[in-house]
Amino acid sequence: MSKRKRRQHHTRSWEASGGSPSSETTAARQPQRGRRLALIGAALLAVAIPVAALAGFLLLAPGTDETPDTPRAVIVDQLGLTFPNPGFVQRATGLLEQAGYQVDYVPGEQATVSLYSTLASRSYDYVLLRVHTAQFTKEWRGLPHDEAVLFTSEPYSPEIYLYEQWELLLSQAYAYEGAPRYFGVAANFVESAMPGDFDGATVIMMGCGGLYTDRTAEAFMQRGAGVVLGWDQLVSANHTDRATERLLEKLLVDGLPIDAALAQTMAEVGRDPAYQSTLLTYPTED
Amino acid sequence: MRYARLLSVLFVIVVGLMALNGRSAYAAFHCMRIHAVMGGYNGTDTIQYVELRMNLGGQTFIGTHQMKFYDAAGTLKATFTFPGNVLNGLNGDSILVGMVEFDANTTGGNADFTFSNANTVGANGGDPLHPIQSPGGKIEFAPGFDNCDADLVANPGEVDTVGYGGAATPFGSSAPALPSPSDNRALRLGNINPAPSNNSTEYSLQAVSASTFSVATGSLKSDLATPRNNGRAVLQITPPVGGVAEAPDAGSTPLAEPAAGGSSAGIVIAIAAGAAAGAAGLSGAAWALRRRRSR
Repeated sequence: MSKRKRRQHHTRSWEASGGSPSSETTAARQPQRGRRLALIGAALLAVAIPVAALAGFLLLAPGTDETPDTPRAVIVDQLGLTFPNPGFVQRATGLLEQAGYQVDYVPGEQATVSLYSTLASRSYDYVLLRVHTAQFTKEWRGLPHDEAVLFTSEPYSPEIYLYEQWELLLSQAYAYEGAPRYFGVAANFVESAMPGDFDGATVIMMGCGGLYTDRTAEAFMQRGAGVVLGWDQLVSANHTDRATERLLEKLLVDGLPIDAALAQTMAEVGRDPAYQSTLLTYPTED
Repeated sequence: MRYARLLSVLFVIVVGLMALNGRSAYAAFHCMRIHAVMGGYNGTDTIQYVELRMNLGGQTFIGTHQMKFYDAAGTLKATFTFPGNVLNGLNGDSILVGMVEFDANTTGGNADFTFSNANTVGANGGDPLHPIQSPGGKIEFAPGFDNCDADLVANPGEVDTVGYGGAATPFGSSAPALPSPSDNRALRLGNINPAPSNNSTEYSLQAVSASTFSVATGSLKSDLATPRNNGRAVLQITPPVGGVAEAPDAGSTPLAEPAAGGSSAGIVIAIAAGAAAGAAGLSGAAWALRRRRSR
């Protein structure tokens, strides 16, 4: 006889006897208490699991959108991997700190895809992207693209970030033929993989050709940037450092509006002597 | 007899004076080697330079002397004339000639002279502002003048010549070809010998300096790092901060949107997972309750 049938037989025997409690029925109550406990446990689990899942998701989400009291700035120094300029970093940081900004410095090896995804959620007022920039002027999935791609320091692999690559949030980028290949952050990434809002921040793309086309700058504007600056052609590391430092002096020390600061900067440092490139703003006043 | 003796003495004096005069003229520009040649850097073929090195002190009087640039076939492409002298002239000191782009893309200093229309004349279609031929070519310094080898004869190729990439050279065989501009190496001399011997063995492709620093006077002969100017500063080349962006290599199959933290898809999936777990718990509770009632 199966255990179940034995229990049924026992119950019917107990009912047939008038239901008087006996040592057998007392013993039968213990399994009932166990089932009650199982019911309570299952109900608790049914509540706890979704709450835990939601809590975990919120805790792991990158950054928050709360506005800190101290204004903040960031220098992403991917270029420091190949052309370090500690003097520029020191002076730019000093200018920002003297103007009351808390400065986050991101060394080259930390300029990862993940880092880029957090830039719009950390309430920066100034975002200095001292990074290589390359032009992506090709078709992808039948659509033409012509945009500036920002270098990360994360080695390129066709086996990760598959969705991001398929949607051209990320491309591959390298400084010259034979150089290491890295993931490059494309305009789509700025638009759809940077949660948060730049909330009027000034974004300075210090690499080559950041404003050769408007696509990437427009993406930053869509994410809430107040103004985007970039070069219209190739620029040397020396010249972009020199021009950016002078621009920060005009903005932070002299307190000039962006257009006046840029005009004076270009008047003083000039175009890049080798490549004749000019530092521009986006959007432009027409 | 007395007159013969006098004539002999005079003859010795004259010869000695001639010899002295010849040697003293070498404290000018003769004792010089072509130390390094670069045809491009970081993919930019306009970042070029030539560095000379003195193998004897005093070689500062280079004004009006020339460097000639030939292609691999031996056709003259440009002639650069030094517009002036340099200041430092110890054994091992350098003289650096570069393009405008070179100066714009270096830290630590500049070249001593810059190729320009004022000091360089193009020939046979050559570009006076970028006269270095690549990957093959030949460069002559002060052609027609003697160098500091043992003889006092201006042999072909002297003061110094380097032929590279298959170009004919009067000194042995051709040195290696200049690499592509994306190969950040220069063709560099491995010694400071006064007499050229064989371009193919004396020259090799070497990485240019990755930093800028000053060379002490005691190290001028032994420190082969390039590019170095007459101010004894080794320069660091810092090219444009651009690059190449290419399409991903990832497969062409469309993929589902990943559950990235913070994205709207992530919220949906998290809630769905929680709901499923909750439903499973309730189902289990209902099953246990039904079993209890059925007994």
